[in-house]
Amino acid sequence: MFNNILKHPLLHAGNHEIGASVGGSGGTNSRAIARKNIPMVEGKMSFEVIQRVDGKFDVNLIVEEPLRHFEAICEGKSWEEVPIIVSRICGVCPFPYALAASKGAERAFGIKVSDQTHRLREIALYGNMFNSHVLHALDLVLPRLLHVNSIIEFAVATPENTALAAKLLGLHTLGNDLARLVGGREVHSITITPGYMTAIPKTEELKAVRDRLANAHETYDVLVKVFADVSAGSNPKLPIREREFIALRGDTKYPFYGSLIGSSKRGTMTPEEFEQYKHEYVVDNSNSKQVHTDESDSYMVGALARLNINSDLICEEAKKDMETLGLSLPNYDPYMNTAAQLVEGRQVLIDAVKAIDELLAIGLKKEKRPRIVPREGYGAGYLEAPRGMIWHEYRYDKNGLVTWANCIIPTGMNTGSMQEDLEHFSEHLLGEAHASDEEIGYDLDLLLAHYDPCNSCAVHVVRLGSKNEPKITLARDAKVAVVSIGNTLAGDDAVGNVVVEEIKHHGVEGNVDYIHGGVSGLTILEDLAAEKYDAIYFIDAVDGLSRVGEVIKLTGEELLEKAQESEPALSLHQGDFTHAFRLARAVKLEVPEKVLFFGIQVGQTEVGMGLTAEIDTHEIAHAIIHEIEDDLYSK
Amino acid sequence: MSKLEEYTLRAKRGDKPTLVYAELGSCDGCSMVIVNLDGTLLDLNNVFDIKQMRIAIRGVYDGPIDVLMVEGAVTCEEEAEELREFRARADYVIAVGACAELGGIPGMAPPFAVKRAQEGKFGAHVQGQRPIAPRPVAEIIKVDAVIHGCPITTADAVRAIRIILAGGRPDYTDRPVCAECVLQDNGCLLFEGRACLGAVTRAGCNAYCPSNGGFCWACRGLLPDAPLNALYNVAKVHDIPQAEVDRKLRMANQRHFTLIEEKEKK
Repeated sequence: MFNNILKHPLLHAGNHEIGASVGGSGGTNSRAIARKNIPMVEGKMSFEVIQRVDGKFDVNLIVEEPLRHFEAICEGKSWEEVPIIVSRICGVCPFPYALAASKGAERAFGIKVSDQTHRLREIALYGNMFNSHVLHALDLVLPRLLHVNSIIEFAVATPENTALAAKLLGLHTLGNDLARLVGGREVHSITITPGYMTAIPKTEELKAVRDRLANAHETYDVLVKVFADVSAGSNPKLPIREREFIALRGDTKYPFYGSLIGSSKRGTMTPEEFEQYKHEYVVDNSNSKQVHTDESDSYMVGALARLNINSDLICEEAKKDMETLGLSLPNYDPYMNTAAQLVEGRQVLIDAVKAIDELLAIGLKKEKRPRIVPREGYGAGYLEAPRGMIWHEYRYDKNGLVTWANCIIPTGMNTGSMQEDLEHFSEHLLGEAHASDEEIGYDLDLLLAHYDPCNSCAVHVVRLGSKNEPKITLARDAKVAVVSIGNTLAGDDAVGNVVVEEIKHHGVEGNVDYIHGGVSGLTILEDLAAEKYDAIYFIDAVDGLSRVGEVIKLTGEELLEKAQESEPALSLHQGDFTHAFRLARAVKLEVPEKVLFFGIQVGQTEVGMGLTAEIDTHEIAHAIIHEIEDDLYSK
Repeated sequence: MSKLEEYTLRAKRGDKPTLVYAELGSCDGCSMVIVNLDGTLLDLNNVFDIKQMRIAIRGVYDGPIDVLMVEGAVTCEEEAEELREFRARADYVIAVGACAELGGIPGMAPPFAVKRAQEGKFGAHVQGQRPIAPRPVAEIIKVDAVIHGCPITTADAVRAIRIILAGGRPDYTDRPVCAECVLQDNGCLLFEGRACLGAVTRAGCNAYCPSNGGFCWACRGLLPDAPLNALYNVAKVHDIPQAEVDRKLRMANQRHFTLIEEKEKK
């Protein structure tokens, strides 16, 4: 059964008292509201809000769509295959995926596409954008607001409804027809590939669809009016939390396909700046990565973000829709995102016609397939997808095969924001004593639906162990060990012990054990494994660095790598410690993924107490504390 | 009594055959083709009682199923269990699209990635979920019919539904894509030095990709006794490395080759 809300392991885990009927009022003082496998969103997603007996809340957003491994799949595939493959990340908004991968290859290989290709891609994207927005507003959100189970149920209710639905679904068809004409197919484009458009539309067909777009305004008015009427009063009247918005920033026109990136907190950025500004991480119990920035723990992308960032570029016609829909800017209300999509739909009707007219004035020419000469390098491709900004980055070898891929997709960016909104709104909603679980569940379900999540897209966490993996950030109550390796009696070999004592004296933030590991590698690893730490930091004496007192930081993998290649040995305890470390992996001791190794260059290691004067353990301890805390908690 | 008679009789009583559309590991692109039918979606509703289709309909259904459409590859044990449970209630099962029929793009998941997922080494994953190497629906349950393609075509979907309603089993041509490609007046991509798999791929798409300037990557599945060697030879003549042909063969059909390789190992 798909929707068995009691089945989820989380609902049985932990010490919280959970009512027998989830969704109904629970045990003595606790309340649990959950929706498993939320319908009418793309992919599998669930949420649960548990009000504990002590009044505190546990709020979980769970992206359950099983892992899809796309980033791993891309490795070893060619520049020409990757756009086809990543397009299959999403069947609802496939064009932006193919475009992002194509642009990534073009950036890496130094290819500039023709003006015609650029224009055609933009027009194809308008088609996908319009189709997706109409689909979301009409097929996925409107039935929720009407409290019916589908647009079909609405459509068959009365003959008037049938006529209305058929008329509005025609808009959906229009978006599809434009996408198909330019993209080759409405789901999964054929024409979008690096370097050129593999096929171009016939002039008369493009003219015909242009006229249909130009004549669609009246029908679109109906859609906006229906949505405005139905959605009026549907948003829970709650305090709205301010947030960071990120979207492409246009210069002269509303940007779906542009080059600069705007943040409501940081202002306009170049892609290089944005690359440094965003940080991916993984969270427990969700198959989706999340992203935060230097400024915020989470941010929102999508139609509402684009409107906020580009408020000066919205056309007059779309501004009228904003009035009809009660949307004023700046606007931080996630419940307004579907309304924002409808405003953008109007913008697309206007801009697509303009873009087609410009292209027709220039005239369409068949383009020959360019010779693509791959080269080793890195390329990021980014643009706006219906659900928000999409950022793909790829490394290629000299033959144009992908060696590393990272796909950051809108829903991945939005999950952090959704989680924070769930927390924010649940607290307010559950604070209202009269609200029933059913009502609260509905409001939260609606919140997530307005985000228009696309969960199939969100689930391809990169594998760990790669240098390019997203940083894991641990919770503040994670169990951490700081472990020295070394012999207290052998001169500078004691440096690990001394530094750990210093660190202990100042203290690393969190639940930290300080351990003297001695010199026998495997025993200490066994002990550590038994404690099941979330992170372990080893501090050891090493040789082979350039100056006494210098500190080297290595990951577990790097340590093994270094140990293999360094001759003479790097760690003074290489024979036992690194060997033990390898053994530990081999016998599958539970060594956590998060392991760092700090090596300090020693001077003399003769038997005797006391360290060489050049080693400033105080300074080293502070540097390491900083590194550890940064590794543990900073995002 | 034939299916047609049964359905007609039931329709007269206002008892339409029940349809459940299940979504496993996929992009939902095939659901989009169905939803994109727009007017036709309402027609589909006229002939079926659509009980469950997550992307378009709220509600779950645990009664008997006349027609079960399954989109997507089976990517975890939980999905396999769901499928078996569905099969037990379903009269007729259609595997919809390349993922469900062949494993498709999800089937490309490299073993190391699946293994890492199984070991829970992704840093995060949904508790209790047990990932498996993504595989076609038919490896888990009996499948009565397929709709080919990535994504499926509107024409195939409508045709398959009509045939099934009449109690038949949709069948497909065993001709290669090339046979349809020549009728479209397309030049041969192999001659241009591009790896195109039309020669070994089941037709029925009117050579849609080559007609739009794209290479065929066998999304409708390989022909029985696909002439792979002939394809390699022609490719060689046109300086297309076999490695490139092999890579493209392993896009939609990776699972097919994995199973062959596993068999050979034993």
